[in-house]
Amino acid sequence: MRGLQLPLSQTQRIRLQRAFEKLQSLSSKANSDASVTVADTIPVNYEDAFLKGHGTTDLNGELVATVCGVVERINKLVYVRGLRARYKPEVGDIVVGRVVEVAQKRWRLEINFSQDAILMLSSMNMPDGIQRRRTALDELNMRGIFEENDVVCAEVRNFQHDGSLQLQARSQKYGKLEKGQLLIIDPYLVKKSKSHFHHLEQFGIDLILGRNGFIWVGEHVETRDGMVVDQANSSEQSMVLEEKNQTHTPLEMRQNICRIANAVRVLSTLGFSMDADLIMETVELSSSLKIDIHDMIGSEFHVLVAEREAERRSLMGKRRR
Amino acid sequence: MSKTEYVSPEGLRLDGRRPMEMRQLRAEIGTVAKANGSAVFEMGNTKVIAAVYGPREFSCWFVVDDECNSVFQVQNRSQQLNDQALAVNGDITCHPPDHGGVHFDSSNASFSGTRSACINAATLALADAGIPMRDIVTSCSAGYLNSTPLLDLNYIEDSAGGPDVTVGILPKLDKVTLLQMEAKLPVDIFENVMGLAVEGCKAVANYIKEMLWKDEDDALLKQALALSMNIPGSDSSVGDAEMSEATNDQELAMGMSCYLFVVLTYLEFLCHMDGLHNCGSHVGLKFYYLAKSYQSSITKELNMLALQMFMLNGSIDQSEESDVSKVLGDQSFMPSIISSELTQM
Repeated sequence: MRGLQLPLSQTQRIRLQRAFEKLQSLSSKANSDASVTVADTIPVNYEDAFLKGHGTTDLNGELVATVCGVVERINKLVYVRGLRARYKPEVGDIVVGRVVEVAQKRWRLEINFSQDAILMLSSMNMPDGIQRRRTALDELNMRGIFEENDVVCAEVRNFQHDGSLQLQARSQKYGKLEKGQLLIIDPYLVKKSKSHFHHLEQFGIDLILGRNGFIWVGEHVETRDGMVVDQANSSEQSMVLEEKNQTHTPLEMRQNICRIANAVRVLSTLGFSMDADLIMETVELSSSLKIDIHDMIGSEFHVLVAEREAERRSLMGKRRR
Repeated sequence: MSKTEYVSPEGLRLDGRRPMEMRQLRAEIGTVAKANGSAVFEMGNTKVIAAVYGPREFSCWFVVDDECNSVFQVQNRSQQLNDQALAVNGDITCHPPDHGGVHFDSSNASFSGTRSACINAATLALADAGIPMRDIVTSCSAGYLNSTPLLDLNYIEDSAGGPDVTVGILPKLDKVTLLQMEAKLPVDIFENVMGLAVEGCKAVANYIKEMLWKDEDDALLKQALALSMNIPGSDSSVGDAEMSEATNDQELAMGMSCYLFVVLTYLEFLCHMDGLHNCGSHVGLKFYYLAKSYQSSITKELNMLALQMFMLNGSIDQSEESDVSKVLGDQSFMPSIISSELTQM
């Protein structure tokens, strides 16, 4: 079962159930009429022209679903949106990925898509910040930028003609992520929003909500301003040294990272969609109740978060009305 | 054959079932947390866990010659390991472990019922992973003991050594994807037994559909919960990217190749299970899935597998179809039925 795998006591179970019932009553009704499973016929008006989209196929003149999901219709297009499929990139999405291969002039990144994403050397900002042609030397030094298993943040650039996915990292906010935790959750929990980068100032932590369900919680890094090119250039050497000195992350910072990461874990187990406010609220809830970091992923805290969320949504619903 | 009565005078079988009765079915979707799709399927005491990892990058240019890049394992946990299970145990062929595949974990990979359960579990797991399929594949076996056709043999009945027919069908398309029997039967009886097995498949199909529906409702509910957040307008954002429509052929092709790969793996598994390579009287019909860009790498696969065309994408054009028929023509053991089937498609 996909249900919660939590050891709950009787009272906790009832409380959780109640919270979820409340949430369900508040949430927009799931339109299950439109849902189909594999090989179900999708009703369409055959006299009108229609376009078959993803997840559909033509079978003996009938339109048939090839995946489980919900039928969506936009003008003439009919397609099936899979509910549990892997991440489907959209141009402009901010994603977090892991380097799986350093190839010629490009890195290959695992981003929970059905193929690896490609980050070209030419669509990267060079560490020195100068816009110039990439030389053979740059190519040789690629491992100096990202290595295998590095966690990288980038933006979806486009789909190539051959179907491969290209990323770009043309800004200082993208790039290698260090000193933190990578969490992997269901992609549908991360909604598109104005900002996927969050700097949680009171903790000094960066939170990156990748649209592919990869969430990064790490120590805050000052983004070097791209305009100050010369300065960056000259300070590069010293920065390398600095980095070496700063391999040590203070304990408090680590604890903060863990606390936030655990908040994300709790929300993902409960199936609430992620946004920075909700994560922060959860973190505050845990610290105000003086719940230990490792107790955060226990049943009691899950129940508390669910109850609180139900309350919050009901308040919000009232306000909207 | 021993003198045991497999069907009592009252018409009951050893485990109390009627001849046309199936064992209890039970399925659960999404049991392996880390897999992209997974399912447990139980038929009576046979329990199979299938997990699909992928679709992932399918880098066929790494493939050397006739190696199919699959990793495939059946781990046999039970005490009774038999030869077949041993043959399947461990990596069957090959190669880079990072392309996804179906992993089966069966507690007693010993008899034909397991095969059916494996196929059913794989169907559920593939559907769960969101891999496009033209239809679900369901399977069921039937046997013939004490001059009675019996549906869904249990272990004791299977080890009686009578003929047993395992059938896999595509319920919607009404086509047979797997048909095997390792004994001789008169044609009229065979037809009876096979008909019975097909009925069983249909029953399984109904059950699987039901499970998929239920699972989907759960998913919908869960997503509705996640959706109704403080951003009221955000619900609609989900659909936007999909506007790109099926123009994105390559993506689909990529998906297909992964699927193909998954299917091939489990076909291979079936072959090894049955000892297809040394079983002459075997009628093995397997389905096969064509992804245009990877055709060349598949060709070798074809030589090994009896196959039936199973194309998802209607857009595959004439030239490729003829290529495939050429390949099919090469197969001496290929019954003519399949080729006729192919031309229909």
